[in-house]
Amino acid sequence: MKKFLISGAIITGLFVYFFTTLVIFPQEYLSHKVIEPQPIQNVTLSVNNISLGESFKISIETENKNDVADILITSVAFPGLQEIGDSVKIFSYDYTQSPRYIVPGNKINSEYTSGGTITAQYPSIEAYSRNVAADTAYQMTLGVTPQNTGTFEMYIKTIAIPHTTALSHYPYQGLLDSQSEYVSVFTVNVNP
Amino acid sequence: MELSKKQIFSEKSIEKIFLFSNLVISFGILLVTIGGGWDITNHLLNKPETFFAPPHAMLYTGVTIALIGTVVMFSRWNKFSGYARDHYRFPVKLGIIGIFLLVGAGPIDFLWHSNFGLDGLLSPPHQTLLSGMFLCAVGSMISIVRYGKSYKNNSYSIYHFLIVLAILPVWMTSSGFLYSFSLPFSETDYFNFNPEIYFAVVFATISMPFLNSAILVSTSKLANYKFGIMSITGITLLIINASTSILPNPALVVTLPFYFMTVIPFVVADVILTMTKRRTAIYATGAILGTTFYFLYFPLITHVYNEVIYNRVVSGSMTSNVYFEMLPIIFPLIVGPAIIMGIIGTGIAEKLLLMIHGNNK
Repeated sequence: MKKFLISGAIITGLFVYFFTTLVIFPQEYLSHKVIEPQPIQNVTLSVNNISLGESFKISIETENKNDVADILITSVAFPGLQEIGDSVKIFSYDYTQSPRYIVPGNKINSEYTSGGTITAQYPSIEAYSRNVAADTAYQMTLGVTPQNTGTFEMYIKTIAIPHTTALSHYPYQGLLDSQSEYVSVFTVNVNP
Repeated sequence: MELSKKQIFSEKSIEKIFLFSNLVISFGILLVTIGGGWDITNHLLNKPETFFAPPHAMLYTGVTIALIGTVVMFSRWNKFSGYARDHYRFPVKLGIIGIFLLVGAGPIDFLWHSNFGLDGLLSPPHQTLLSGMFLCAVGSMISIVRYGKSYKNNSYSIYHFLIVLAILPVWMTSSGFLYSFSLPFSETDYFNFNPEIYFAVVFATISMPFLNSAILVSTSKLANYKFGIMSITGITLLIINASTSILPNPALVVTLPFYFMTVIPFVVADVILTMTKRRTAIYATGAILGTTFYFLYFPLITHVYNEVIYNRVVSGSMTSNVYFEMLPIIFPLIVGPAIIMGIIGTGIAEKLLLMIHGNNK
């Protein structure tokens, strides 16, 4: 009789275990609202026109809104450059992680992390922070000295991870860059 | 001088200090494994960029404790003569080799960080560290088991509970190796040591259930199938994993009730082995314990299967979503291999125990 009861308890225990872990808990956790971090960015250019040999500053302020973000990445890309070299210097930077310098040929994510990796076409600087609470802001200021005359272009964007909605990146529309992600384009005229 | 020491410390008291030193080693290695687990989570959530991080402090505190334990162990073993000296020779050798690797891993790790920045899980310094931990843990476990082999009576003794401390570091360092060869955490700016994704999935599916059942059935057998010892071992591992892998991530705290459900199969397996020692019952226990691996190794195992199923970016707050979305896809595929490997694990455990006990079982 005792063995029969214990066997019954064992079978019941295993049933409860597998039913709760395979059915009840997954349903419960998947019904929770997914977080939606929403970054916004504000970019300030020191000048719009310079002469060759002069420098300008570009300041990017990024703020995370709505929900916590696991990672907040602000990217400044230079589609007209082959390499960053001495053309771009970081003047100030308060993101929690060191900046990453992307060079053409590096493997980078695309389509807001859903498109797999692609090869970087042009150099960029990625500033990023981890575990970013809502309403937390970071800033980075770059000093740029173009090496050629003409229009000097910069592609700027911010992505929050997890990227759960169309508001998890900034800008929401505009030019699609080589990563198939929207960027704000900023230009400075470099005169002879 | 030598004679007077012998008068003070009888062979028995030397053996007790020897046992204590092995427990200190096990405790040190346990700290190292806890620090290591915390370090992995810290890397996932915060990407620390320097060597001087809190998990590393815990890890190297454990190394220091293990080193002190090894020095005491070796000095006591040197005072053994005849049978006792031969009886403990093998585990002492393992411990000495292990501590050299363990201590050597510190400077190697520091140099690696200094030259290559962040290092991956499968990096040479981490594998040196893991190898040292494993040898130390196995060495002290064998010594503790051999010391306590005379406890064959039916009542509980302190020895039965010491088995928990002896076996946990072995379990955790072994699972550290399994993680190294299955988690995609080994790609850095300089090197890509990530295991191939299909290899990683197959490796995890085969090795993790095997390890679960081999360790837990061994624990029960070492405790003469006393009820509770296997459960305590399993529950302690759950608590450690929850503390190092779940609690540091605020998004995963809600999954604690799910995680601790795995107490049930541990207790069930424990009850079965207490009730009967029939081979079919032991195999059934192995099968049950094998099937728990996908739950026991949450949340890190998410990263292994995600590579093949979704290949999403599994950031801290998305871990549970990806894990639970994969569950209905993964579980039907892994339950068969998990049962088989769990059963094989019990068979191998018996053979390993014969070796652990030595010639004088």
